[in-house]
Amino acid sequence: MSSYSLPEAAPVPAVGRRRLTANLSWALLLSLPLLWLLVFLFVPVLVVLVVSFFQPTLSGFEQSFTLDNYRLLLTSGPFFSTLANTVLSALITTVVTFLAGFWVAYYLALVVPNLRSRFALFIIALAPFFTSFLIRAIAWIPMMGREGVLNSALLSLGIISAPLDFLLFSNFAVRVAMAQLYMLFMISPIFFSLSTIDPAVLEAARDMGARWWNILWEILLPLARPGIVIGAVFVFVLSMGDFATVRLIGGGASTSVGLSIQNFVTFMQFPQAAAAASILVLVTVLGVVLLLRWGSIGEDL
Amino acid sequence: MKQRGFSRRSFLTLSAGALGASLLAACGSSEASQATETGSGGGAAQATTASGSPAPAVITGVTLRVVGTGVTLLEPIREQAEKDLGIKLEYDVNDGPAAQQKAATQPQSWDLYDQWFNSVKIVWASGNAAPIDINRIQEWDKISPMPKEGKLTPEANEGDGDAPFRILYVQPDNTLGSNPTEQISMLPLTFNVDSFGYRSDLVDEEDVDSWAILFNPKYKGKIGLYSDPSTGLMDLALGAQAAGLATFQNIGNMTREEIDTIMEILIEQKRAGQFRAFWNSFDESVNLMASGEVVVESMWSPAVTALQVRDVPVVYASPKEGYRGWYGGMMLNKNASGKVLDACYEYLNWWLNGWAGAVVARQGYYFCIPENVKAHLSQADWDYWYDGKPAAEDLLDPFGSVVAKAGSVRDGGDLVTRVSNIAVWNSVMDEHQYLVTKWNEFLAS
Repeated sequence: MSSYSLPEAAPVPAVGRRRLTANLSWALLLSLPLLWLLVFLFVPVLVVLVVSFFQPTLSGFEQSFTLDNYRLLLTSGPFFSTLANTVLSALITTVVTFLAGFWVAYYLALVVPNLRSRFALFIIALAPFFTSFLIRAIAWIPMMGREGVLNSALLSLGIISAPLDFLLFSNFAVRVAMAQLYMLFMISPIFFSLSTIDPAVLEAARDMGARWWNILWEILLPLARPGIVIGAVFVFVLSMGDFATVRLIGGGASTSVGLSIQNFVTFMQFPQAAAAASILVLVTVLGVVLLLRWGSIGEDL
Repeated sequence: MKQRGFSRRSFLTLSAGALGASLLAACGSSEASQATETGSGGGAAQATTASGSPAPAVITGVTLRVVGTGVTLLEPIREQAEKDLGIKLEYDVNDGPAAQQKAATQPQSWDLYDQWFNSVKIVWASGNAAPIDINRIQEWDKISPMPKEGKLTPEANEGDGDAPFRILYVQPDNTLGSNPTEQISMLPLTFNVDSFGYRSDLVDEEDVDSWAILFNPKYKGKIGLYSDPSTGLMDLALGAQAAGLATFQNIGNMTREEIDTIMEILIEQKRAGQFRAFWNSFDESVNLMASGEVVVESMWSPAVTALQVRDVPVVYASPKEGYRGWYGGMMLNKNASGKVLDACYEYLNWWLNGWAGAVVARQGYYFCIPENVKAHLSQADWDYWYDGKPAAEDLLDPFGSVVAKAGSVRDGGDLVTRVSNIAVWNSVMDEHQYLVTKWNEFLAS
């Protein structure tokens, strides 16, 4: 399957004119999103990059070139452990959302018989996203706190004798919360790629004696790969940049580069925030590139 | 016109005829305002406003934009000031760091900056503020000596760090210092002393008289802290010093070595699980204590009252090493000119009349001219908040909910006792930038 490739798109000079007008209209159609990206993504990123080389002052920065911001971060042990923790959290979240989300997508796409109930259930899966991110994150505190629902339940059932502290304000809590918050970004692309699978293919496999796990391993997973990789990219990127969950659920016991950046901004050390942000973008992009290569997604799309 | 007449009458009825000519003007009648403005200055002296101060000259058609925090930007104050002054006021309410950031980076978005003295150095350094001319502050001489000279009584502690008097006066070279001049950086208005709150049912009485409690292994994993370096670090440094873990020459202005020392201790303690959580907002600090996550927490006095009213048995400590003090006030934007500048001064002078000070008094804050506040507070309120006497009745906050039940006493005693023992002020140190980098590492470790 991975050896499949597009036929060479050989230029055909005879239709050059039509091609040109087609290109032109595409250029027009794409100019708006392109402008959008340029103004709201590339320019700000460029500004951040430039500011990361400025000299910080008490209340902002001076426009004089320095490498100190990077030097300070890259020679700081805590920054590296923060970065490592961020990457680890993002990877764990990605894996957990995949392991849990795949089955939801599987059930929705292949088990639920008709299209209408399939989409009805999908909307229900979306339901948590009708509330704001912040509310969902804050809702964890009465759930997982020392005197929260979970601890009270475990205590009254006699399973534990003292409240479990690690349920809130810990790396564990942050990762569980992020997995819950980002689950849908994994489910949806997998759901859509599984939905496109022709049922005849599965039927044929069954007719030829394939067991359930053969079908899963040799048909479903390979065909769902684009969805899995896209879902993984979503979840990975979102978790890498997360600071709100880390702050609310982590409560100071957990940390992320995003949170460090936010702290630097709060303390008005913009160049250091910019330097940390540039490093974060670099590492995130690197992670995405690796994910895409590992998923060889270019060949499937 | 009919409409206006009606609202005017209802105002008059409501305030039992206490309103003078200036209020008529404030209601929006342009002729009336003209009348008051004629012979402005001296002519306004006879009229009094609802808040009982000399009526200011009414400036019409001006909108003042005040950026600050929820501590003092309160709706009742805004409404009263609009009524008394005839100007329009826009309050831009932020948390402390966000307000400071706006002041320092968006000078076009505000006219007055209403925050705390520990942000004065940063906002002054941004060059966005103009000095306030004390000749235009009518009651300047009545302002208590504490922000001007450093202490209320001769035997009181001045406290280390950014005490208002050290950064109040604009010096001839445009730096800030304690040498009196006629220009000031921030007009001092409200203040208080902070410490930590503790659950009286879960914390031993013998531990609560010292900041050392923050490092007491008995309360490991049950300590809550404020995530802001210019306040949170002070609490921790006082605690480390009290616990014998470190000593500081000047706790409000540490050297790099001292910062390294304290940070090492803090990171070690944090990794060992001493601190449970860091809060960023007032509400978070209340919730951490209310939900039982922490039993000892560095917090603000209204947070403690908020918990007491909810029947959470929380007491605000009076540590023997002294409190951490803060002073609030307002800074003037350098771009304010003409009518806007006049309105800024009117608003500052209005604040000094004590009406607003009485509002914040019922939140637990003190005011720079206590006698002006006294005129606007009930005897019961004054006795409880300023004199440290038991509440004669259930006392209400500015929004009408009970803040102190009859018979309760304010923790720490009366004004003089509380503010005479200040160990350190919220401060921006000389090594501020080094500190915040290290503090960020601490938060991230």
